[in-house]
Amino acid sequence: MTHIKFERNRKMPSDQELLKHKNFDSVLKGYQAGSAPTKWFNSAKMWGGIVATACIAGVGIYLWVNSGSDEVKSQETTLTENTTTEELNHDLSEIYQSTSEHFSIDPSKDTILITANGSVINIPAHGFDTECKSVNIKVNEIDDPVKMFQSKIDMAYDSAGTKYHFESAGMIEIRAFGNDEEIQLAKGKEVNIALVTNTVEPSYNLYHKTESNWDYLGDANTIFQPESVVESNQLVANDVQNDEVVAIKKGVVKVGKLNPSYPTFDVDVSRHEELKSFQGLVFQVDPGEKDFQEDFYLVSWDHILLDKKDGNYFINLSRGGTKYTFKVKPVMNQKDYQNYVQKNKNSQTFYDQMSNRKKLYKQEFKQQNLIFDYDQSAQSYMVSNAVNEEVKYQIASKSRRLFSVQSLGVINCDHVLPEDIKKQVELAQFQFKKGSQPLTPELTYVIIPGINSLFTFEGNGAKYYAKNGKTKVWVTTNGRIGIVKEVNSKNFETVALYDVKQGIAEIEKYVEN
Amino acid sequence: MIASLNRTYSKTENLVEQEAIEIDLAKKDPAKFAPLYERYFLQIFKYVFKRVESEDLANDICQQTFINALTKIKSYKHRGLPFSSWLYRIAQNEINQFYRTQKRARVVEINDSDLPELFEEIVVDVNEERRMILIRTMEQLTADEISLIEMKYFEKRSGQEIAEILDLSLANVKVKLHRTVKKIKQLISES
Repeated sequence: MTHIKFERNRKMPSDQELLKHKNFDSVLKGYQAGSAPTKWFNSAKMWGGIVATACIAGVGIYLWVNSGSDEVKSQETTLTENTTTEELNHDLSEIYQSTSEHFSIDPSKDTILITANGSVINIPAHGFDTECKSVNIKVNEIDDPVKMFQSKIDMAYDSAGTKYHFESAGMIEIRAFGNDEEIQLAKGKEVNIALVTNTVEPSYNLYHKTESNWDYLGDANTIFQPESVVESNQLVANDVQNDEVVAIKKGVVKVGKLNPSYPTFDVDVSRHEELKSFQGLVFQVDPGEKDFQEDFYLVSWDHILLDKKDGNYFINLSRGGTKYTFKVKPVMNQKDYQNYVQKNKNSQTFYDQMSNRKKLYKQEFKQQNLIFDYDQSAQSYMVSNAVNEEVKYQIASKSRRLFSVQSLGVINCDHVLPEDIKKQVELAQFQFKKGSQPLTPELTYVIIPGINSLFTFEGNGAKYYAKNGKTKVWVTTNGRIGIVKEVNSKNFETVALYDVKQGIAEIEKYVEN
Repeated sequence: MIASLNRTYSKTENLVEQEAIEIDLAKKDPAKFAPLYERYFLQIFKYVFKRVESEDLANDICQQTFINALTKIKSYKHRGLPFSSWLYRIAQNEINQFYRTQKRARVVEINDSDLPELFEEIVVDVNEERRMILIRTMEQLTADEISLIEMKYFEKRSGQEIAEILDLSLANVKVKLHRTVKKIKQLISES
């Protein structure tokens, strides 16, 4: 669902008023500077920060591992030889600010909020300890290391003096404000949440952020529910991950192998959702169609349209006043067919696994049952968003995690990583030449590929690098983002330092990959 | 109405040729982009303004649109479609980018005078209650679906122009519009 604000009958300013914004010189300057404000930095204030950062421009930095013995390639960067530790640690906190969604609600009523990410928050009537007639809700979903970096959320966890590190399935920050003051839930009130997370792994618990640590809320209230539990025709369009797999599983499409002794029709399948994602799909007329003549393949038809009736496909051929309809079969050539069969096999295995899980989760769901009503609400939301009537099940890489909280703040679905995880990385120090004073970041953030977490190191001169030679490590410093590719303990094959704007864009690419 | 909104479609051949020359000049010298900017500033600004919260924000996005246009103009190829469609597409991308990263409520401008055609499509009578139901229903559409409805029914753009702006085939635009209208009907019948 789209978070929309309708402007009804809004008055468009006059042309004269709008023309006062016209300023080609400014456009030209923006083009020449190549300094277009980007998605991350739309406000002038933030842009000012970037410009300030970019002022430290220059070339030629040699990056050395602190051990001092292994020289690495020099790269052009935004740092100069005159850059100091202070400049390295330039405060760009404005830029790091994360974006949030804001909702205004009537606290006397039950409210269901749907976030842009598809998560659902159910707030009970009179849920807040306030007399305010309107409460503002701020929601921030933090589901990847970039957002963790922006939100400055420490993923370290102290359990009775033992230090651990979290990996997150997904995190949500919910805060409520009445008369601009933060307020909390009333005693005995709970907020139910269905958090969309990017993994279907069930091994995550629930934690609540405190000032210096995380409170374990337990796993009893965490119900893992893969989307495959969602039955019948009620699916959310943008959660459908693989139409083709779904279509195969439900027998919506039965594809055959192409008969090479017959020609084929290559037909526009855009009207048929279930066919759109198949590669190399063509059609051959059913041998049972006695009126079909092979010459028909050679005719330049005005229109060739594909229809579906009772699970069968029909092709409508027309030219001038002549029209024919024949039953056809979707087919593929040998190579595409083999791929299709393999995919079908894989999806069958996955589907079976998901079906087994589904039974398990249904049982759990019954046992827990505390959020049953809430889930009904979520289901009705899904009904309203159903678009693909033929899809019966969804096999998705996402899941929703359903839980209730009695206190707002940052709630994290996560599990602890092995204790030695931090040993897998070392912090590269920034030096201009061997023996020179190293630049010491106050804080260094490290992202390890495949782990949805952010590791924070205080600048103490320690060095961290990936032990696995093929692993990429991304070192982000406070004010600079260093990206170290193909690292091992001896050599950096590629090293680059970026300013924040470019660095975040690079990290985004990395996270997406 | 359509002619005034899509005036580039009704340009004379001479004007189209003149514009092609201006584009070629701008490819060689960015400063020569000025006549194109002069011609299209207002319509791009209005397009953006209808989709965002404030005039200032519209100004930022509009400016960014033209900066991007200047950056990309070397790769622009005339494909028989108005130059404005190319600019609209850049503007639309900027708007999408803005909402994707800022996560603010997407603004949809609805004028009562724009609704009758949509009502006609979904075969219901126009009255205030119906208007409110329709507006609530639209909240349940996806961003892409809203864009299609905005362009087709509120801005009266042709299918071809919508296709160009959204980088879709004409057939795809028609299919998507058909589905969206069907979805609205379904949602209204459920409400």
